Amino acid sequence: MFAFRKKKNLIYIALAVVLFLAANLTPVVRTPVLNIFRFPLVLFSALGREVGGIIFYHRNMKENARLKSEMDFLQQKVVALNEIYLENIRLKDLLAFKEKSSYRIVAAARVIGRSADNWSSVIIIDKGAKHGICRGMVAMTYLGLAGRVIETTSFTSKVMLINDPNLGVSAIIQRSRQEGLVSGTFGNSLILRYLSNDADVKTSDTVITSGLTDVYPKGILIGKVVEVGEEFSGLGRYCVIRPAVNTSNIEEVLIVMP
Amino acid sequence: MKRWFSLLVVFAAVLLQVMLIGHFKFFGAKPDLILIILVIMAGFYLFQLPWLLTLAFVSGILKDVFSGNAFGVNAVIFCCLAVLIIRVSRRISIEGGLRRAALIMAVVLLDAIGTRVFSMLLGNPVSWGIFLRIGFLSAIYTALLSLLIMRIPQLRP
Repeated sequence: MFAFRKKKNLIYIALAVVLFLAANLTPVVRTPVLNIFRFPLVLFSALGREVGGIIFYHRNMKENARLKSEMDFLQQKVVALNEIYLENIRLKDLLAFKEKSSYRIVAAARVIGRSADNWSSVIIIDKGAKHGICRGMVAMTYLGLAGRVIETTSFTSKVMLINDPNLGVSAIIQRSRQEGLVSGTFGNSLILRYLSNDADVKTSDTVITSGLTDVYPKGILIGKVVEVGEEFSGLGRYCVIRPAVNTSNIEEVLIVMP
Repeated sequence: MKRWFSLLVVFAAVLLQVMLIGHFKFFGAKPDLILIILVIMAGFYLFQLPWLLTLAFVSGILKDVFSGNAFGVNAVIFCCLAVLIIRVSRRISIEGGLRRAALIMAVVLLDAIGTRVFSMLLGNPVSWGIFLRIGFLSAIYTALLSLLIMRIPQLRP
């Protein structure tokens, strides 16, 4: 029988207590012990999970399906929120431009459609005559000139974009004040024509509306010169311009009085 | 195909053309979904001429509504093209995807030439460079898209 009174037994108990305390309180002892026990612990917990997974297979499957559908829903929400965030940034820029600019802004409109054929570059906006828009008004974004209103109905308008060859804009090079006529190519570039042979034009020059006619207000940014060339006839020079406004992805425009 | 369904398909094609196709421009050219639908209706479904002319006129007018050119140009061209497609499809076989795509390509080119002629008559023609680029690219692009569209079971003859 175990007797507490025996000296030998008391020493064993004392040693066990000291070891237990040392193992629990001293990291020097605890860390290697934990490290040693890590492998069987990982193994057994993994086994336990697997066994649990098999036992609760049906419940887990249902939960998995529910979580997947929840994830799909949340992903859609993230995409929608991202879209709203981007729209918010665009509208903030537009609003800041509207507050700062000196142009007489009639309305801000959203693009709801694009031209159906290849032979015109047109957008359809969601504001019309009821909102004060008339034929001949100028469409722009906070980046620069976008086009001109060519047709209005009560609640929609058609805007011909600057990359349409049928739209001519009287323009000047901001640095040298050389005048020319900007027209579109249906692509992502514009052409400034009717420059004289000795015209002072360089690449990266800024092109703005000249204001020579009443059609466009003076000083609206059109784009930057990316290439200068000589006309085929040899009578003048032309410039290829990269428009400030990317006509292929306009989503909102401001309609301005000419 | 029922008549009312063909009209519905034309309306859907116009909506898609206005809202979606504009985002898939390639060097300024985009495929013409309305023309593809017209060729499918005229060449493969063999509707009677009066109904086909009605379809061509409606789709042409709708295209005119959503474009910046002179109103009515597409309506006239589409009616002429519909008659032409019917005559061609009665004389030569247009079975097989590639032949149909070739027909659609030819039709888009004819449409481009027709539009160019009208714009010349109206005094505002686009330059030859732009015309050739847009004309050929849109014809190829439309033909390629038509190969995809003709795989839609509801549109198969």
